[in-house]
Amino acid sequence: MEEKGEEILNRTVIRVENLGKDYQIRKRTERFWKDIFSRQYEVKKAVEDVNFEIAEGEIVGYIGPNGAGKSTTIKMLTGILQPDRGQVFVNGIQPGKCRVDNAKNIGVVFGQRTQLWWDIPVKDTLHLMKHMYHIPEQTYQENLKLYSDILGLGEFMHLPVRQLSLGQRMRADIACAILHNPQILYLDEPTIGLDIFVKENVRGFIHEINQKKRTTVILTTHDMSDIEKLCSRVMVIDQGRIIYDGSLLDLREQYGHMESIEAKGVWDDVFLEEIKRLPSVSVTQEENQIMIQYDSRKVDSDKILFLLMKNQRICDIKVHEQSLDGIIKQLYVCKEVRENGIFRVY
Amino acid sequence: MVYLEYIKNAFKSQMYYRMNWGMKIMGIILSIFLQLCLWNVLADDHSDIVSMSYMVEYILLGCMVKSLTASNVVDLVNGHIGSGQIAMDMIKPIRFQLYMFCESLGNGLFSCLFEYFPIVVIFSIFMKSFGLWGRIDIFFLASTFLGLCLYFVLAYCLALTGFWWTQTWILGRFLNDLVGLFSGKMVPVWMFPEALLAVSRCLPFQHMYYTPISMVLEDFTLMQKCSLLGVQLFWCLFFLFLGKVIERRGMYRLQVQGG
Amino acid sequence: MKLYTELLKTLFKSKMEYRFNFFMEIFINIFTYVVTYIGIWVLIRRFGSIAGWDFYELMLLYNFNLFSYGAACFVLYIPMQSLEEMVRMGDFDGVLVKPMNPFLYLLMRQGYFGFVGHLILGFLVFGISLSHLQLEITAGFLFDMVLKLTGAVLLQSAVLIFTGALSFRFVRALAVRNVFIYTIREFINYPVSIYPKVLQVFLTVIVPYGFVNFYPVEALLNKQDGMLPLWLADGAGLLLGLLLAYLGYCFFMSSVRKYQSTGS
Repeated sequence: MEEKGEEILNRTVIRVENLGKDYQIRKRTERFWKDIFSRQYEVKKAVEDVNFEIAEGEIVGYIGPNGAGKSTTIKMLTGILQPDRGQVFVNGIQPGKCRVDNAKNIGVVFGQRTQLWWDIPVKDTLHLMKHMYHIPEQTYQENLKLYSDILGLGEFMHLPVRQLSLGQRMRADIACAILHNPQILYLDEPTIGLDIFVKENVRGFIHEINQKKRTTVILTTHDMSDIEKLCSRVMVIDQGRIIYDGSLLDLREQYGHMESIEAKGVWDDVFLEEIKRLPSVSVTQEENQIMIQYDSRKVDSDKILFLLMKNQRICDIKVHEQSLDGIIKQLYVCKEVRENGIFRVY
Repeated sequence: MVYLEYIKNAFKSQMYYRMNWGMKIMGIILSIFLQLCLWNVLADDHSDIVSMSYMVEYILLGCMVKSLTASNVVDLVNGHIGSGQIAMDMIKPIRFQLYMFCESLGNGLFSCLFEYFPIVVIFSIFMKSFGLWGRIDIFFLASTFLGLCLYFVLAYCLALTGFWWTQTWILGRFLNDLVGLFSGKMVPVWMFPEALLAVSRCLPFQHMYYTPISMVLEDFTLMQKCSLLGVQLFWCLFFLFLGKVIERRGMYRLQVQGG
Repeated sequence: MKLYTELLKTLFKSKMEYRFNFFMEIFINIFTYVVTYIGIWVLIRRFGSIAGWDFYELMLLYNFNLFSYGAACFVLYIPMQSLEEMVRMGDFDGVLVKPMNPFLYLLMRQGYFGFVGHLILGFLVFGISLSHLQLEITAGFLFDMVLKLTGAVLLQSAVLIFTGALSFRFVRALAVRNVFIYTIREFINYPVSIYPKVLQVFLTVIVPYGFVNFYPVEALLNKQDGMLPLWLADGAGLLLGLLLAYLGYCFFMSSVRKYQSTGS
């Protein structure tokens, strides 16, 4: 089983080498006249020395704080921007140089903006896409039916985009992006602003497409549950550099060691002192509720639970493993990581 | 005073676009230049009908008057109605129409003082029309103010149709076209052929533009001047009243329909 | 090409849903220019002629401008206009991920039917003015006129494209665009010969709006009024139009490339 899996997964679809891009930020001086006549620029390295490879069929989460270089990387992958340094190969093509050829094989969904024509019904936009991507009739009909079923497009196909709700628009955008069976799908904040039902619908859809058609998916998002539900691999970028590239599991193991226990009951100070004495523990108390935060590498949760159980006037206990949000937050500020360079774990 | 603040705000927001301002200035200069060239040719060939010096004064004065109505009232007001912002405006303790008037006045004053006025002064030096400045009196100013009020209240009435349909920009353009012709912007009113002149007398448009200018350029007696001001005032009040009526019905519709 | 006609059909269908608004848009476009023609008529009634051009000659002149503007704008106005906002909001990226020439794709986003008004009025006025002028309307004449109009349309398009492409390089290019598309173009509503020599040179050589209507109509009417000899005025319009439209397109594409290398 293992060898078969490896065989299938081996084909690299995206390869990025020493990628770099700079932006020129205009410095605004306070002086009125200076601003008009001379322009001063400051160079900001948006992306610096980025390297990674993505294999066919992977669903990769690409995350980072705002301004970290996320969207810049994606723009270079899709051919919107030209790299200043390094190279990008998507299916052997350099998107910066052969934009149109690359565009034929990719689908892009921008969460905040729609690519549909504003005034005409959805089905007409899809029809226009058929012409634009030269989709054969049969494929077109098949996909149309498939997507309509899963995404529930039928109920608003005939409406112009401006009359759609955000959830409907997003679903239409996604259908539009993969109508031509692209090999790679880029999703930029696809679930932003959506209600929970539509989110699940969309996630399910992406998963199914990935399974059925082996579409490689690159997902940028701020919503960690998207990552948890869909991605097997996560890349974290901060200040233009990749600071983590590996599986979600390993990420958790490496950094998900800050856990917490919530307990409700009646407490006395002597008892709390004992708990506080354990290494790396910090306790906060609010009336009858206490929160114990600890590093699971330094102290076993069992020990803490054992101590807690000694208090007979306890009513409720909850154990939380670290949320992905928390892990990522740690990564961003983790000095150790920064100093040691890039982590790559498989 | 709140309304003063609104005027000031309109000023400030215009200042931010310096490039735009420069281009606008150039546009104004070119526009005046075009009119001067045109009338130069006409006055030269037909000096019996009109003299160039008259037309120069006409054009320059006209610029000043026109600049005060430079802000497109219909779009301005409709912007508030169409976006539903009017609901927010209702919450504030101010009268909507007055608020709109102040904003439009602010825009107009800015345009006049910082864009048109300097250029008009420069042109008047070039064209040696110094005498013009001496003849500007209280009647001109009063008439200009009334003219601008008139334009505002009329445009306001049209803009209020925004309660009922969305494409009010069409009405705005319709108004501006009519104003362009009948107010004397293209051609001084007295040059109209008989039939058109008769029509124009029944319409309020000439009082937005031609009447103030004529206060300076024509020799009117005191009686005539006052009666002209009276006519302007009449039209203003007429449309003010009409506007209020429409406004009330519009508000009612807003509450019933929820925008 | 097929894609474009498909799009137009679909847009037309959706416009028809708002019949009233659609016809109002066309109406207002016609109305505005009818009023302008009335203005010119008033002048002529009073003055007889402007610099030796009588009413119908002026009508023809003005109409050349109007018609070619309407035709060029029909295709280009909204794409170029919306470009500024698209770049600002980041929507232009969506254009770049499509497997199509971005210029063509933009044209496809919208064709604006309001300009049909310009075209309808244009046809009418051509009919009126030509019938009142003492000219031999032969097939050759009409063919000549069509050629000149094509040149005019190309020149107008060139202006629209050049100013549209500015949106890639400057954030608020709107005022610059307005000056070129409206203010300067206003000068050619009257015979260029009424302006001082400097301005005539400007309108012939620097921003060759003169070739949109003045020179072609001069040649058609066989009226030597401007600073160029008639034989030059005759053919230069079409050639200039082709050249400038092509240069405009090149400028546009190079601006897109610049956008791709610097972001925004």
